[in-house]
Order: sequence, then structure tokens, then C-alpha cells
Amino acid sequence: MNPFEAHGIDHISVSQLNLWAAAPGIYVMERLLGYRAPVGAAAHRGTAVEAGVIAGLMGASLKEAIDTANAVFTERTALSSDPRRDKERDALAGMVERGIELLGPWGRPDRVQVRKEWRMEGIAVPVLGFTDAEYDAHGLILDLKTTHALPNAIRTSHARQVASYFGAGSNFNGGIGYVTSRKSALYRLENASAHVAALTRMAHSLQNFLAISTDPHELASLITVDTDSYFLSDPRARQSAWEVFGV
Amino acid sequence: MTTGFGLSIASGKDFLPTIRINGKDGGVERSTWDGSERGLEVVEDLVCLMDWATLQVGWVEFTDKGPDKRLVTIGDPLPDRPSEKHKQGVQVVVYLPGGLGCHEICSTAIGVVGALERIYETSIAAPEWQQGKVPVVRLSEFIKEKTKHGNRAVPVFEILDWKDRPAELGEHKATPKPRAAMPASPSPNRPAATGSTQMTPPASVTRAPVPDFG
Repeated sequence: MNPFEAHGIDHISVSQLNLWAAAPGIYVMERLLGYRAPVGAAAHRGTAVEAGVIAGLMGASLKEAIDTANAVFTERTALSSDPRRDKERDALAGMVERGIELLGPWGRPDRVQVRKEWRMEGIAVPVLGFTDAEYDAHGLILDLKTTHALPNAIRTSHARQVASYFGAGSNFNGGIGYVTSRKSALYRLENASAHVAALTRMAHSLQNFLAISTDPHELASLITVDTDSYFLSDPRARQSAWEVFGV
Repeated sequence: MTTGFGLSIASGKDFLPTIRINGKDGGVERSTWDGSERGLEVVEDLVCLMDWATLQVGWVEFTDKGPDKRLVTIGDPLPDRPSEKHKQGVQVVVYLPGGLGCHEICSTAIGVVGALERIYETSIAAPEWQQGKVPVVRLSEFIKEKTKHGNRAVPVFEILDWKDRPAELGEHKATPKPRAAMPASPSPNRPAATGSTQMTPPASVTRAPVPDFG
């Protein structure tokens, strides 16, 4: 049994590897011990805006696209106690509109939400991911990200995510669109192979760590967490960290 | 033969005859290059041993003077894109029956690459592949598609059987570089940039015709 299977993991994703890199303790707490932190309203905002923008790109009117985003957000946050929920809801319409303005000129995507599965050399489980939009005519894969502050370059974690789609043997180039409620920018991904190489090293790091023990509590005893981390901003996640790490 | 410069030249391995799969109109041709005379013949029914242990991926530009390939073994980092004209593509060595031996299939055509990817995934998931066997693959048909940027003929591959790997195919096995020999990144002294160049949409969304890479 390989180290991943020993911990009940049958695949990995780039977001998991990014979490492992950013906060190994949180990874152990959530992925190995099952203390799942509640998903914040910001994450649901991203999902909702993505649904709305894709609806718009596929032919829905702007109003219909915004309605789609609102519906998804409402469904996902119906039981959320996140105090930022209303702020995130207010941003939806602007973000959907910016997203359609940004990506609309590229035409209707040939495919959306495309499942990608590929393997890294020496890693026992496959990597799974989903592209947001693919354009055959432009040889382009695009991912859409929502934010309240427009970055001036692709964030590394996002670069790895889109680069990973080329690890799936894609014949395409990559771009990442960022939208706020007022601004937007679409950046071309650079150095995709270097980001895939970095991901592969991160996966080896995780695999080596998991191989130390089949007991997740023993693995948790090897590391700790930053209690000021934003990953622990939710009181329930903070309580979980206390229970797992005693800090 | 490996030279003192670390180059593999004059081994014969670099000059395999080719199989050309026409990804635009369908059809298969085989080069009859014997080292001195060039020629092409139509292959009516392509059945071959398709050895995924020889698979390479990377950048390819097909030119009048021949293809410019910058390929690596699966598992090695892709090199940087040499030019805008280079497209991502794949190459696999196949073994033809009737004494015809090893040939290369190399393509950047999206439909062909996608079809190869599907049969690749099917093959490597099979228990026979884990036992060291090689699939006997037939190109059973082409599915013609009309896309906004031209016609496309997507080959359909099927596995007929599994055979032991002939020694000739073993000579073309593609092996990833040992990890210790891999550069830390294409820019070994600093982390790779992610990208800050803004993309502008095309003037119109009219699609360019698909080139015929065969």
C-alpha cells in the first residue's frame, strides 16, 4: 500500500498541494484527521461568480448570469454564519459583469469545467483538476479567480493550478483572469513547466511525509500550526487546532 | 552511440521512418525511408504494437525541412517553448508487422493527440501493461468533425491484443532523467515567474484553419 492509500487518499489536487505547502499542520488536521474547517463565504463567492460568468459566456444574458451567481451563492451559504457573507453577496453582480467583459471577447468556450487527470513521475496517486474554460481556436485554457484586490501578476498558487492542466498533456496555453467588482485583468501564464516541476516536488514532499507513519496522530505530533493563520480565523477551525495540536 | 559531448548520434535510432496520421482529412501514410530513398505509401489498415514506454512529449514545429522536435520523456520537465510556431505534441514509437519494424508517430494535431491520449490511458490502466506487455493497436476509423476552424478527422484506436515487447522497441525506450540530474527549475537560481503580461483578445473570434500535420 502506498503512503497515500495508507491514509485513505486516492488522488491529490493542486489545491491540496498548495495547502500542504502553505500550512502543513492544517493539511494534517483537515485531510488526515478529518477536521474540516467551514468553507468561508469568499470561497463560495468564487464558485458563484464562476457559475455566473460561464453562464454568460455560454449565451445567458447579463441578468440571467447574475441571477445564476446569486442562486449558487444563496444555496452554498444558506447555513453560513460567516460575517462576510453579505459583503461577498454584494460583490457578485459586479464580478460577474467584469468576468463576462473580460472573457467575452474570446468567444464562447468550446468546453467548460473539464476534468483533468494526470500522473506525476514517482507519485503513487493521480492528480485531479478541472479547467474553467477551454478555447480550441486560441489554444487556450483559462481559469477565473475572484478577489477584492486586483493582483498585478499571477499568484504562484494559481500559476501552479493552471500549469497542472498542461501536466495533463494539454496542447494549450494558459491564462488566468482576475476579477474584482470593479476591475479585471487577464494574464498569460509563463514558465508552466517550472510550475509543474515545483508541484511535483511538493507532491514528493507530501508523499515522503505520509510515508513516515500510517498513524495521522503521529504525523500531527511532528508539526504544529500558526494560530494567527487565516486558515484558523473561523472559531471552529481554531478549536480544532487546539484539539489536535494543543496550541 | 553516445559521444563525449553526451549526444546520441548515428545510432540509427534518430532516423526512424514515420507514420503520418492525417488529422484533417483522415488517412494514414508510411514513409518508406530506407536511409537513402524517400517515399510514401498509403496504409489502409494501421495495426501496430504501440509502445508507450517510448512516449515523448514536448514542442514540435513541422517545417518544409522536417520537424523540429524538442521532446522529453513523460516525467521530465517540459523545455521552454522554442517559438510561437512550436506546438505541444507527442511522439510514440510503434512496431509494424511484416518485417517493417519500428516507426515513429509524431503529431501536434489536437484530434490525433487526444485520440492517442485516450488509448494511452486505456493501455497503461490495463493489467497487461503492468506485466510488461505491449498493446496491439488498430486505427479502426476516423470520425470526421466540422469545427469552426476547418475539418478534423479524429482517429479511433482500439486494442486488439497484447504481445511481448520486441527487442527493437526496447531500444527506443524513453527514460526520465535521474532526479539528481534534473535542474531545480528552468531558472535554477531563482523561482520561476508566474506571468504578468496582460492578454488581449483576438480582433475577431474567427478560427484559424487547422494545419494538416497528418
